[in-house]
Amino acid sequence: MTNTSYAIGAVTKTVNKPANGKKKALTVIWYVCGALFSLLFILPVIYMLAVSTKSQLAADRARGIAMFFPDFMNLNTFFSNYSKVFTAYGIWRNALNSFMYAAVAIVCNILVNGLAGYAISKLNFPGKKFFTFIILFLIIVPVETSIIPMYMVVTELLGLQDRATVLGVILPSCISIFNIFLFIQFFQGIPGGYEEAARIDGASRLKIFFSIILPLSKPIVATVAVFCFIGVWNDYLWPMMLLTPYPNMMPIQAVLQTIQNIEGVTTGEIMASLVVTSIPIFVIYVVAQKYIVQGFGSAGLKM
Amino acid sequence: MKGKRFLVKAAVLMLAVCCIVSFAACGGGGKGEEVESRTDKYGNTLVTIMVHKDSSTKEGKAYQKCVDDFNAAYKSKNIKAQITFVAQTSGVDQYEATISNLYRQGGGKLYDIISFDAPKCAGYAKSGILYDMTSALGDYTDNFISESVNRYDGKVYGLPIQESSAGFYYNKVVLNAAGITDGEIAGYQTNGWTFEQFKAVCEKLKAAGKTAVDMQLAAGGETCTYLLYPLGNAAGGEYVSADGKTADGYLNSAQTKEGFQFIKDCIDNGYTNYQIDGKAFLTGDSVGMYLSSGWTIPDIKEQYKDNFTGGWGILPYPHKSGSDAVSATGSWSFGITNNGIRNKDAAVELIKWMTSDESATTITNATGMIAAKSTINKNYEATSPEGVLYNQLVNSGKARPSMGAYADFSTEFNLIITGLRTDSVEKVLNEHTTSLQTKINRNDR
Amino acid sequence: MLIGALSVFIAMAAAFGTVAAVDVVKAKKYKERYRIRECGTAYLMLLPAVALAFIFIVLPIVYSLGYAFTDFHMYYPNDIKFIGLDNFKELFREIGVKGELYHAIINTAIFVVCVVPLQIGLALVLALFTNRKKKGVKIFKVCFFTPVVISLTVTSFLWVQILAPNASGLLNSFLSVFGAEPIDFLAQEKTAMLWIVLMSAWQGCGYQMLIFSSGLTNIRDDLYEAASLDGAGSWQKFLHITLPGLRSTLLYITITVFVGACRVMIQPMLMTDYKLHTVTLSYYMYQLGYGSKLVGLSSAVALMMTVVIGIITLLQRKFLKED
Repeated sequence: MTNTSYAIGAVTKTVNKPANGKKKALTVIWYVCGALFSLLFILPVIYMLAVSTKSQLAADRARGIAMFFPDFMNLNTFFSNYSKVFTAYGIWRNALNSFMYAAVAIVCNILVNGLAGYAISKLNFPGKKFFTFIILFLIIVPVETSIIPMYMVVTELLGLQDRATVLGVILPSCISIFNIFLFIQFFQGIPGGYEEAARIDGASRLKIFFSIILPLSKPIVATVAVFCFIGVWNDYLWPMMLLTPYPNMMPIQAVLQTIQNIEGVTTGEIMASLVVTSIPIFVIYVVAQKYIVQGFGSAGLKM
Repeated sequence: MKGKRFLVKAAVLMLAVCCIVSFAACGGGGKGEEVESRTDKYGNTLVTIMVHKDSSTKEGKAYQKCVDDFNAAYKSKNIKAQITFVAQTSGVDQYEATISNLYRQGGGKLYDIISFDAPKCAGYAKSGILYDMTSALGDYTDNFISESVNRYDGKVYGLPIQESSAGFYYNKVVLNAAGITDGEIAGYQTNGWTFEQFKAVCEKLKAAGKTAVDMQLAAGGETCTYLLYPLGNAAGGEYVSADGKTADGYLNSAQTKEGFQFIKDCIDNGYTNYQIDGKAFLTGDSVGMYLSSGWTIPDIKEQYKDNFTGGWGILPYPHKSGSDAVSATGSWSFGITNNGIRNKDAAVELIKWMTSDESATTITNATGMIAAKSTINKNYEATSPEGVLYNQLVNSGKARPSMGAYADFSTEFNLIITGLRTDSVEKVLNEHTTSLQTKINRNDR
Repeated sequence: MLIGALSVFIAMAAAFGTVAAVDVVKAKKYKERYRIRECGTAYLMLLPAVALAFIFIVLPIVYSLGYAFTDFHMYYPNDIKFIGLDNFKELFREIGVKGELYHAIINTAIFVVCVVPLQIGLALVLALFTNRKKKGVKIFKVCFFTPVVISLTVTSFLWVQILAPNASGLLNSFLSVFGAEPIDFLAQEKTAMLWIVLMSAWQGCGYQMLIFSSGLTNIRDDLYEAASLDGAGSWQKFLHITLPGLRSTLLYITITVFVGACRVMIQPMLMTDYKLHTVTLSYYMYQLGYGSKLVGLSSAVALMMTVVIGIITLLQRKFLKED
């Protein structure tokens, strides 16, 4: 900006000079504000990271700015909280569970909702209006208040117990009305020509879906996958309600609470477990940032 | 050809869906069948027990040791015990949730023996979770402190693991400085004291510039109920009828109101308030007395001993002159469950073992609490902190109301204590009597 | 329960059947034809989604409607009595005597009233703030978004430590520099809810910021340029261009944040446990159903919540759309 204005000539330069000074000041203020705002948002996170490396004594003693710095003084105990969280509290087992649930949920979510979206958007069949109406209706109704009846459905009507209880956690996360809606919207944007060509070649609808439609819908598939992962990974209450008798099958969020309530647990260990829980989400966020933003974009367009 | 492939694919898809749905639909199907007993692959009778502590705690290790001893002793009889540790948690209480989840599945899924907090006994017994041990135990219950055995409807449903009581901790230096002599204190400790004597002591402490007593009015939850319910009873009143089904005429009776009026007086006269810092008594000298449970004894002996070099002790609960003294009792108990296993012999053996004199000694040594059995005489001195609590337990202990809707009682009790802050005893108690009565009715089926 | 599920299924199937039949009749009228194989494929493709949605979305909603008028107790699933409006009478009575439900409503109201403007305002400020092409914008955005990607569970536990009433609690140790005594923030009856508000806004506003940002990029630049030529100040530009341009985004965000705020539960559950001064409607509903096993009464609370949320959402929609 400034370079071009210098190049344009002496007249504009003199005109812009006071304004430029003001602009620079504004820029500086902008950066300072930005830094302050950012600190507000990440200081607690930094605090979490810092305390996770400290022993209880070090955490209690830290004052002022030292609270936000990791315990570099005792490098030999730097990761001791983490090792305790992994070995003594066995958080890796629950992390593995969460990964497994998420993986199954992602695949099922894309297949189930994708197929439904495809059928509604591209195929012609009697009763189509019924489904579109139901979808629009279910999106508006706040479903979350029915968690207790849902618990009764899973435990009483389906009667899931022991290992099968896991199904009660995974299956509900395989269906998402909102994702069907997203798929419908996206598939409607795919020109019919692709399909026609394939149909002339004699491909079945299923084949078309897997070999043409899905590859064309990579962005929406990625968005759905990312959100499904975040949803399953961050889910706390529902798995907790179902899986309490089976600690071996609990996902990672639920075990955080168990760790909190262990007698003699130190603040550092709690923080370490929180950090461990957050890392996969951070990684996903960094890798798939594009799709997350995209997802929000489509969410914003919705209503 | 193409059509065939399509059909195959369709069939596979159908199959997958059917699998999902049928697996979900026929996974269990309601309550499991009753079975005679549970055996492991070596033919041993398997008996399971669940306790509310983590295995890494002192208490957890004590339970583990008792179970190990049991297994060693019963190896020849082919009975094997398995212990599971499920810690209580805030938020979704995992312990409670485990019990209710497994109980509803039936078919021997629930542990044969569970530990539970004494006031929950009635609720569990009523909903059928706990097994009636009256005939199985016979006169075995005679050795326990009578008030500590968990009864509901006259039947025995639980045996206490250990006991705890509460009392008014005092800092001797602070009390002496306010003009309360050692002789006076020892007299209260051995003979009990009345509301008036309690208030007189508070007045002296107030005159000396101290907050007279921290009654933990703002503690909330079960702590609040546990510590304060004896005061409501101490004028001869009751909270609910003996069958736990009527609150009207009990909670709002004149005697119960008098008990609460005592608390209200302490607030109004400035002896206590809702804002006291819970650690003030333990870490300084600004508070004269501190109402707390027996678990504060180890804390004072270890963590806060520097603050109490001048001596300390426990005073019993005060009572209305002319009425009997009442003190808090009730800790955790073991009970056998109705889990769909018909033969309870092994479970009865294990519960007897877990509450035997040796086991009770092992456990109370680990927790520092008082054994709930009269057969274990620890020879406490009458004015020692433990002695005061033990004498209270034996002489004036009174369990919390035994009722199916105990959780609601506890909530209402908390609301009453909160309500005393602003409203009169009369108004608060009348309001919450109706409230409690409807909650009892709501749970009654 | 099975009978209920079957009747719901039959009702849904009947509804679908009529719609489908009407379609077929119409198609005949206009001489269109459905290809049978295509229809078969479509139904097959829909089957998994329909089955799952029926079991896990439709059934719970219908059940929660039905249970609200019964005395369903979790331990006696086969002994259900229809009791009409008794559950609702009970709830209103509880509000009348200032019981738990009263506190739950007050706390939820405090939460909603505080968190909706705070979170949306914060998000809007952040979105406007980051809506310029300067170096480092991306870093700022990442910072603002960080709390969103951390789960609610983790942030709740993190803030429990920040507000802890002991020496390692961040806020108390900061205050102790000024010689203040440690305060148990979450036990303060008056202010505990505000900390939960603050934490929730802090956690959530990055999400709304992103949506606002994508809304802002849709506003054409030439509008601003034209306004500048007319000599409009930046405040006027904001009022007359930015806000109208963001209206549909604002509507969406207001409704989602509002509905989300009405359902608040995890934060008080994990930060303070079941305490009267922080219990919220959702938490109360959960406690009744899962804790006290009174599924019927809990469903009545859920139904009331759904109705109230629905009405307010519709009002908001109308109000913001007409504006």
